[in-house]
Amino acid sequence: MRTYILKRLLLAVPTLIGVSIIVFFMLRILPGDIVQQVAGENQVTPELRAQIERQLGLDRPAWQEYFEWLGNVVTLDFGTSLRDSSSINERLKNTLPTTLEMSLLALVISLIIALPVGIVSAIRQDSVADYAGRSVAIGFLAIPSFWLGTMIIVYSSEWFGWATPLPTEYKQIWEDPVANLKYLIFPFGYFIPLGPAVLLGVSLSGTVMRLTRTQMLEVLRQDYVRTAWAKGLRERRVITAHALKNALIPVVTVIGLQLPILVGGSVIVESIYTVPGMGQWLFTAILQRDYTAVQAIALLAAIAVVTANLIVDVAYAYLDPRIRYG
Amino acid sequence: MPKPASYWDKFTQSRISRRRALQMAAVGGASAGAIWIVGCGGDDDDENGQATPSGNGNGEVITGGTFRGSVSLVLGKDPHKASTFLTHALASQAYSRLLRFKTTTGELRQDEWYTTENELASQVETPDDTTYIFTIRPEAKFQNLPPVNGREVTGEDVVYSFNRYSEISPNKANLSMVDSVTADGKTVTFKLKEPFGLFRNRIASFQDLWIMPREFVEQSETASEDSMLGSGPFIFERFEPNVVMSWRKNPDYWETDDQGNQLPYLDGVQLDIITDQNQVLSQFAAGALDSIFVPPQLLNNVRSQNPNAIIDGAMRNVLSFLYFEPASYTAGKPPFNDERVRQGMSMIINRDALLSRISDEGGGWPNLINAGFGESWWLNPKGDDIGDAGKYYQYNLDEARALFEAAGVGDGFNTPMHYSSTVYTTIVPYYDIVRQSLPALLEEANISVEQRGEEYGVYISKTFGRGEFEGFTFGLESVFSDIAAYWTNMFYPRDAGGGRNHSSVSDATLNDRIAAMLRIQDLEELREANFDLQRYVSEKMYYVPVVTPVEFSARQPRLKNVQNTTGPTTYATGTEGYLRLMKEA
Repeated sequence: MRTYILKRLLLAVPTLIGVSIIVFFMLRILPGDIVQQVAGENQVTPELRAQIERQLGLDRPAWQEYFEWLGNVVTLDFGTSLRDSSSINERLKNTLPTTLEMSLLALVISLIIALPVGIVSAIRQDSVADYAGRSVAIGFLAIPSFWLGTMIIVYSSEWFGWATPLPTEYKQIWEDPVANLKYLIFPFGYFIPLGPAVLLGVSLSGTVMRLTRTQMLEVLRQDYVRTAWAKGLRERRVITAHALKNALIPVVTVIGLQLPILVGGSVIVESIYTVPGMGQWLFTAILQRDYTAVQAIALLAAIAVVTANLIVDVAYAYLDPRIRYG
Repeated sequence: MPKPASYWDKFTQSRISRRRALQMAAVGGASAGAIWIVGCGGDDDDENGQATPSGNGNGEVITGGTFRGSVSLVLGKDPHKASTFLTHALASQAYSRLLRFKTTTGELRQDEWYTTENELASQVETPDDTTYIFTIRPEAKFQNLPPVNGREVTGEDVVYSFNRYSEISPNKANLSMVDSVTADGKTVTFKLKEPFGLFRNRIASFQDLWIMPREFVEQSETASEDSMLGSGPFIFERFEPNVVMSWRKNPDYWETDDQGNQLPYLDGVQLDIITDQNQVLSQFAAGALDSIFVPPQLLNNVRSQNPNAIIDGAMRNVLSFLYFEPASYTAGKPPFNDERVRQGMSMIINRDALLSRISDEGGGWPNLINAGFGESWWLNPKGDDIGDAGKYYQYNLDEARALFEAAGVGDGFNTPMHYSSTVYTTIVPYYDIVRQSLPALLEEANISVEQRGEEYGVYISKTFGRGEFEGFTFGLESVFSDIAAYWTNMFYPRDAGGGRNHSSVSDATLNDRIAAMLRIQDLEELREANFDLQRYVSEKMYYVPVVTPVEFSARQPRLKNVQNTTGPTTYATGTEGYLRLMKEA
């Protein structure tokens, strides 16, 4: 297993370099470059272009810039923002934990919703509970999170005069766990879980719920489950010890693949809820063509996805003893 | 005293219709900052006790409190380096200019819009048409922080700032008429290459000559982007990207009010960075923000949800207009090379219908100069003074068809229409409403439009900046604080100050007339020449101006002594807006 993990980590290096090259050069060929963004509505004369490029350190060939940037990244120096000169490392220190925490919370919330509903829906197939669960799942899949988030913000303000806390009130979990969880889960009060992590979690749960139900139904029809029933085992034992573990294998894959969706979702949800995280930063950085910021965030997102996939693969071995890596 | 609305009152008054919910969802993107404490036309000020020279109307000054507003974006802190009004508008918290624009508590008379008053300068002498001698106030000093430690502002600081501005500012063409700047102690002399009648406005412009101390700027390569340190009323305190930007009161600020009270009255200014417009509205409703910008389509909603809020309306100096493919002027490419087609295009636009679609409050019709400049500088296309050219602004489908017929396109034509599909749509909420309406209006004259939306970055560089587009474009012209900037930017050749000549308009007669106007020293004479130019371009319709809707801001009644409750909206905020602002506890 150790060798396998090492191999996978080594294979991740070219993947990450590939991602960094694509992001780096795609940004530079994107119409509406950083120079025009800095110049605003002024006409970019060759003189002004040269001046701005000099100011931003973009007056060298792109490949030179890339290798210099890559060299700095290897030493964990992501440089400074091209738009406001702030240190990207400093901003990452504040925003990365926020987005990671929100995404993890969302994942946990999605599982808390999806697994029980998916299981109940399967073991009580075609019952009222099943129909209700399936309807909820389809509803969660169909409603876009940005719309739901907007409605939550608008109606909570209209009906109750509530507003979410402002970004100045955000505290990292290690600074003030209560304030942190309030911001991400209970922004309107402790019994009203309508925070950004919940919104993200709810929108993820639909897929997991549907898949759990399908897999459970399939597994419940397997011979070994029938044997377990024939042995007179209790339902809880049959479900948890025999069916669930096997049904979860494809579900785990999907959960791992949810990470890019979480990253994408955080971009919008953070903007709606004013969460000072990486998603909101990425959104403004792309609009402003802040190359260094986008490069850093894209690379970190790629690292997160690669890591999540590795964790999923390792989790397979735990869930299915037949799988052996080496 | 009005009875405070109960929860159930608010609940019953504020039920949201499906249409309004959709509107809210539609504006749920990035929004411009609501830094609208200057330049908003109040429509119910009197009832709420505003428009009084002092805080509570009893002559008492209210000190303390922190103004809470919001911005959607902060793009740097160095006003010399920046090209965006977002940075320029905030500069006056910490920096000063030699002159600023006049403000007053309550309404500013229209004939005083865009007039200047002294800021750092105590007097301005003009011994001849090309010499301006500014004497700097003896009491003016920088903030008491290292490395300047509260030293006096001198003429050398102005020279240093001008040289730096001339070297690095993307706006440096705005002061290209200056030949030299020299200092002698507390006086500084600007020699111009030729007379420039609106020079005082240019010096007061919030986009140009901010006075920055050399020691601070040269402290490190990034000092002016890491912080702000000038002679302004507020000391830069904190900037966290996507979170907040704040300033605290400069306790040693050199300016006092007429009664000798120390300015500013506020203890600080905090601008929360909020990108989502619905968040801004809900934070205002919850009382967290003191003042916000209100999208016109949500005006009634904001009114009903915040019955005690004071709603202000004003026409901004953002010009909405159609501009044509440059080849129309440079290569005579039909159909827009023919002024009859351009005139016809203008006559198809039913401006009043468009304004009523935007909000019930209406607005004005711009010609090239915007209605937001006020009648001292803007010739109302509906009025008599514009002469015959006024007819080209009137909705007249038959006349438009006749013009198209005469130009040989009586059966109509197909044309691409470019527009920005992002940013404009959220920072200028009426933009998308107008954009959606235009194709149907043009269709009435058989002009079939193929809409080409472009992401803002693409739009601003390719279409707006380089003029690389076909057909025509619906665009916005950013704010300038004097009319000369519109004339030179939009008509001079690109390499001679025409940075916004999007269509490469080339009219030597017009350019000569603009140059002649700029040299006029007498303001009344200059105004007349400016009006003549407006008549001329209204005839030519090089650009087709669209509408200037009334736009809105809302503020909590606890804000007092608000400046310029009607009037210009393109002033710097710190000095003109927050300097005399008061906030009740």
